[in-house]
Amino acid sequence: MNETAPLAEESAPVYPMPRVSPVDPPPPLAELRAGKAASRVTLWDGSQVWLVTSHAGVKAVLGDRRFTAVTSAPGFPMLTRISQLVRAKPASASFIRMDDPEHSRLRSMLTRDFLARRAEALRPAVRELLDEMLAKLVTGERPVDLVAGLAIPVPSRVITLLFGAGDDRREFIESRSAILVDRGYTPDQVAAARDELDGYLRELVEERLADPGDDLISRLVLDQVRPGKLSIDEMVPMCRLLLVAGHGTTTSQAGLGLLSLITDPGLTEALAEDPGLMPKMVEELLRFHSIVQNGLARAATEDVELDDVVIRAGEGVVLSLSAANRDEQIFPDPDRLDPHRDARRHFAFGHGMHQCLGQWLARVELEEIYAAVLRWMPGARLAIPFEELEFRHEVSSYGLGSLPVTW
Amino acid sequence: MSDIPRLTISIDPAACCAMGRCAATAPEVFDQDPDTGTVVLLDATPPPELHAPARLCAELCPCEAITVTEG
Repeated sequence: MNETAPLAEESAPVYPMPRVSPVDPPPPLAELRAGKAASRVTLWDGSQVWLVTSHAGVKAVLGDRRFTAVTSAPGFPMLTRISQLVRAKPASASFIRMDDPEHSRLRSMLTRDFLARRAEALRPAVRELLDEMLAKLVTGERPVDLVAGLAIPVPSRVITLLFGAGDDRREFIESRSAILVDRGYTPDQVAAARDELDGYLRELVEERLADPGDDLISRLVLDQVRPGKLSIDEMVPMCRLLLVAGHGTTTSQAGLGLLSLITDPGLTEALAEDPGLMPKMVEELLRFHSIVQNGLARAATEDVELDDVVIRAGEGVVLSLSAANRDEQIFPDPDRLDPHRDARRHFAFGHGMHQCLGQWLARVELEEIYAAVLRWMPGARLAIPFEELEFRHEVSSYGLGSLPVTW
Repeated sequence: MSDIPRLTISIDPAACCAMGRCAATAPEVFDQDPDTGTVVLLDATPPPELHAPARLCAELCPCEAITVTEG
């Protein structure tokens, strides 16, 4: 049923649509949100799928187990050429591409390490790391690129800290993880980077099997692998997921959030008045930027009625998180970045059983990154005109190529 | 007494995916098991000032493990 002509029909516009403003979702999404519960769109490969843009619709689909996250399922939307690669080698899929019970069996092995209280316990180490990095940055040359200087290395250092991995492999991990989420690379290049990462992770797992320490990998090895609950073949993609999910996403959100903070005086004034506003600000920045720009993909495994639309078994669905996060039914005046808004209903971390496992860690990192920049670079401002900023449209988590600032 | 609004909360630990949105949003009403992260209900009939946060928890729960009924 997806063997349709590669030309988009008027009734099924090409998705994703281009942005007009670099910090807002493409305008047609708002028009679609005002229409039916789901609309037909055409993907890059010519296939047609359903697009859901409302908060209620996204919540309903992501919370409904009749929709599968398995990429090899009939009708599953191929958002990029890279998703085809994942479909071609399903054995290497991580639990983000599985349904229950397999998904829960694997994910629950990680729950303890990503509880809110565990993330909170990491806060002092994150703050110390930031102070150390910023102390160096502020004594160096201006302008400072906050993407290369903070947004990329901080999440990467936090993940290597969790893994107990050596600092010497960080550049390798960073570069290969970045390739996996960048549509600028060919499927072959992505496959090569994935195989290299998997090789490294396999070595790391085997090292910890022989000589466990006090880190996430060692705990998985001791609690799950040794008792026979988890195979090394299952553990490698699991660790790869943590690396990839922990890198690009936090980097993108940190960069865009910093951009908002240094270009919108209302935000810094509100924080100066009430520093306790930071967690709320982080939620609002997550909502506003919604970096998983093209949304999440699912396929219906049986016919499902979604308000005024019937999605048939074997049809693909794309959930636009960025459109749902600008739904005026839930977020009045949605295109306004409001530091006092209660934005907790946002779907920047998704919804349903696949909701981001690392969300508490991400919140701690983001709060600390934003606060540290405001602390160390008071009055920070863009060092180039806004129009010259380079936005990365080709990566699955939308973000800035660089953020040159001075203060 | 009848004009004091009542709210009854029930949880489904089997559906819980241990994300901890509830414990972060209404810590007076929900906690998490320290090992598994599974929801623990502290107060099934919270006082009126906690009704709004408790309702929000039911809405935020990614796995619909929280049910809130009026009365």
